[in-house]
Amino acid sequence: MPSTFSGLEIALRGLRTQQRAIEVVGHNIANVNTDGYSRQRALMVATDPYSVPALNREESVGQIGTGVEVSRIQRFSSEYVNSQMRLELPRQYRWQTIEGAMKQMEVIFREPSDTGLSAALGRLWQAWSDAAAMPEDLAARTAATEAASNLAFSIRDADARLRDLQGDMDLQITQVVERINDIAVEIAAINDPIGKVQAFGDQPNDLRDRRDALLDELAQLVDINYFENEDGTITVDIGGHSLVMGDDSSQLVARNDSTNGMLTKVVWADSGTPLLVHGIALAGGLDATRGALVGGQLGGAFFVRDVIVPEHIDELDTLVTGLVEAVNQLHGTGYGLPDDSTVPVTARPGSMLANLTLNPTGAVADVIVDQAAYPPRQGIGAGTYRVETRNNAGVWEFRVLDWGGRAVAIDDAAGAGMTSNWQGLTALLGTTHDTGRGFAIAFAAAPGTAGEVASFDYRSFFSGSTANDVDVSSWVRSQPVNVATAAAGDASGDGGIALAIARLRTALIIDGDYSLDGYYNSTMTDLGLASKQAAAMVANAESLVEHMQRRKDEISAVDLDEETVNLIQYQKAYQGAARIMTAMDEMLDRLINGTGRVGL
Amino acid sequence: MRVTHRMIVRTALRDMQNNMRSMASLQEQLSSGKRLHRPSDDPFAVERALNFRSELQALESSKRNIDLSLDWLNSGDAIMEQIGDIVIRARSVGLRGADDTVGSAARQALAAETSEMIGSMLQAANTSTQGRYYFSGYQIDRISFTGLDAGGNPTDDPGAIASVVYNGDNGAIVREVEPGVSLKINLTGNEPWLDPTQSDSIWAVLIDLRDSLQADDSAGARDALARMDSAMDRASQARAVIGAKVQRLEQAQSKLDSMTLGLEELLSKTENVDMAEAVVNYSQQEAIYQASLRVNSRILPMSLLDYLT
Repeated sequence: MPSTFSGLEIALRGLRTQQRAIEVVGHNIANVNTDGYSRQRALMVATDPYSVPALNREESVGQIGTGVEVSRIQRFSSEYVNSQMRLELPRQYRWQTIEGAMKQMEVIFREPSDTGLSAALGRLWQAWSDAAAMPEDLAARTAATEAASNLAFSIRDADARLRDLQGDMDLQITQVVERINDIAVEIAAINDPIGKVQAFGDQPNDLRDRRDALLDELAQLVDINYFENEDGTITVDIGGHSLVMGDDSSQLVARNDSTNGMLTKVVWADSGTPLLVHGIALAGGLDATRGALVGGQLGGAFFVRDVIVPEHIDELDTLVTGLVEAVNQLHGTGYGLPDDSTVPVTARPGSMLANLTLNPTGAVADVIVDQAAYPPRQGIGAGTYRVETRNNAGVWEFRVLDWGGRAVAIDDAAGAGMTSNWQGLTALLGTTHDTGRGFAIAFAAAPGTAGEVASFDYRSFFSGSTANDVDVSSWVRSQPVNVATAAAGDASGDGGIALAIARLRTALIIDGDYSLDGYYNSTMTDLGLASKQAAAMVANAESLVEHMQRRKDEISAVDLDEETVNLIQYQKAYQGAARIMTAMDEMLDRLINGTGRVGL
Repeated sequence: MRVTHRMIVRTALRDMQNNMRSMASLQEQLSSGKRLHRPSDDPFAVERALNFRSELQALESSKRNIDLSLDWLNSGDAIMEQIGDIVIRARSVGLRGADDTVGSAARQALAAETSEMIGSMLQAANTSTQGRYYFSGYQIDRISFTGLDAGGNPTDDPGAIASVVYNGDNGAIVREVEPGVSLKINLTGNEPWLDPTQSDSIWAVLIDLRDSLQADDSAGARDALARMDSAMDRASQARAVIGAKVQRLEQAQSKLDSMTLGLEELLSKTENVDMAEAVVNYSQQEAIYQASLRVNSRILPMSLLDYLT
């Protein structure tokens, strides 16, 4: 038979349990705006009833309830939704990083506008067309060099900004790696108490929320795999290498990669092996196919740095190569305005002409400067080149000097590569010596005198060969008369070369498929399409993540109305339990103070 | 489905953000009048717009070329007109000189007049516009013709001129007047009527006429007169060709003007905002945004707590 006071105990249990439940409601309401918080509820169960089955059990009606207790504090969270979301987050953040970079690139190229590269290129053709119409006019020549200078500056500027963007992405990689390391340490630090709390049979609800938030953040940075162990701790790995295991964590380092232009590669600190994601090493040299697989901010930054930006730099380089080669090739065959002060002493062939034979005095070697077989390439400096011969103790030797008196390396006919030293001439007569840069020299007859045997002007319009060093050559910049507009020497009214250069506007220079304008314009379409695609991918991933987030909110979010209703419910239950307590008290009062006093 | 307050807040935030984004994009279009601000706004339209722009730049170049070429041709035409006048005057002098009834003294006077005409011819042929000599070919900064005396030295005295020499290089000045279409816009010293080395040239004829008149040789004057007719025909032919070229260029100019207009219209269609459409879209978007603000302002503050005491 239960004790006289068991009713008091039941009421006490009711009071305590409802109070605990109200405390949980209070915790929920306090955390209504906490990110990553999952609502909790005190799970109530009836305590063990009286009496227990036994042979000596009391002969009375059983069992009798003994009240209520909180069995555990339940946390509302769906591991399924969480893991789905962590699959989608890397995609979302990868594309967000890419989209940001694409938007920045669109700003770099600022097309369509009157200040973009396309307009600058158009103005170059216009300036050449004007120079063709007024070849005798110095202002028209200066305008052509100015237009070219502007274009070159725009190209170099775009190139520099693209490289800046690449540098930003590289920095972002370093920062992401640091954040991954921090998160790994934090998760390991939370793993430890979670394991201990669970070992005591308690629920580490708030610790789990914190750990989930960290995992979510980690999934924004890079693709991760993780699973929960029986003791409640989680193991996290990236590409098969463990990042967190129990209360231990591994660290990543961002190191300069000497094989990739000193950009950063990501390696594990312990082993020094590159970080693999989906089997792809994050160490530069990513191509478009493989780079597309890596997710998170890290994957996005790598993709922008190693695929997107280099692609656009390459396109600029292609544009520059096409422009410089085509213009220089025509310009090199043309003539500027006659300007006697620049006429070399020995000969004045005007410029590089095909099979230009120089025999100024009739007594020296015939020097053949063969441009037909060696058309001007980018990289060759404009100026006057001189061919010299000397009689070195009976052996005839020669060398080529450039405009600054520096020896030009040319083919060593002995097959030993290039040399800028004096070379034996007699044995090599009839052999063509390639400078490797845009002209070749051959000697047709035996030399008769020592000294300068020939000189010729090389007149390139552009200097440089890539998007980061293209410029107007100092040759034409210093003297507008050096701009070659005429197809023949001493013909100031002839604009033939200028016209030919102006006509390059429509020439299919790039791969024989595109004009320079057309090529550049089509790269802008590609950029626009890629940017649009990135934006669509972001929107797509965002809506998926948002769907997951709604599912999460549906399950885990605190709802004030709901909590208020629960509060009322628990409060009333508390009041009820208190009433029971009072009733018991009154009953006992009657029993203790009122019984046995009959007739008193 | 359990709907929580947080879901409503999230939806409200997202939708307001989306509405703001649409409004911002329409604002950008409406306030700038341009539909394309970056390649991703419409990648293919951007390429078209860029191509239209470079076409327009090329047309602008062609127009400038035509203007410059017209300057050249017009100055050529003016020179040819002067030359034509001189030749007509020379012809009447020649006619009088060829008349056997004219006395020797009169012929001397006519010879002096012819000398003056040779001087005028030189002056006309050496007219320079903006430092450019019309007949000099590529040597446009060089005077086209020089009169030489009997000793072969340059002379300024028209009466002493025994021959004329051409200083130019016969270079054909060619201008691209339309993409792919070039036109020669000068006349050079190797035209038969202008080439001093040819006996039919205007120079040889004038000098022969003067010499015949001076020598009181009416037969020589008649002979020179006959050759003068063919030189005159050729000169007026050359002038007609210039006129035809001017006409051709003027046609090209108006064609370029209409092409420019057409391209500008295409560019504007590609690049500019259709205002009516944009404004309609904007009002629509505004209505949506206002509706979302209103509904959110009513839903968000609602709570059971307001109804409990």
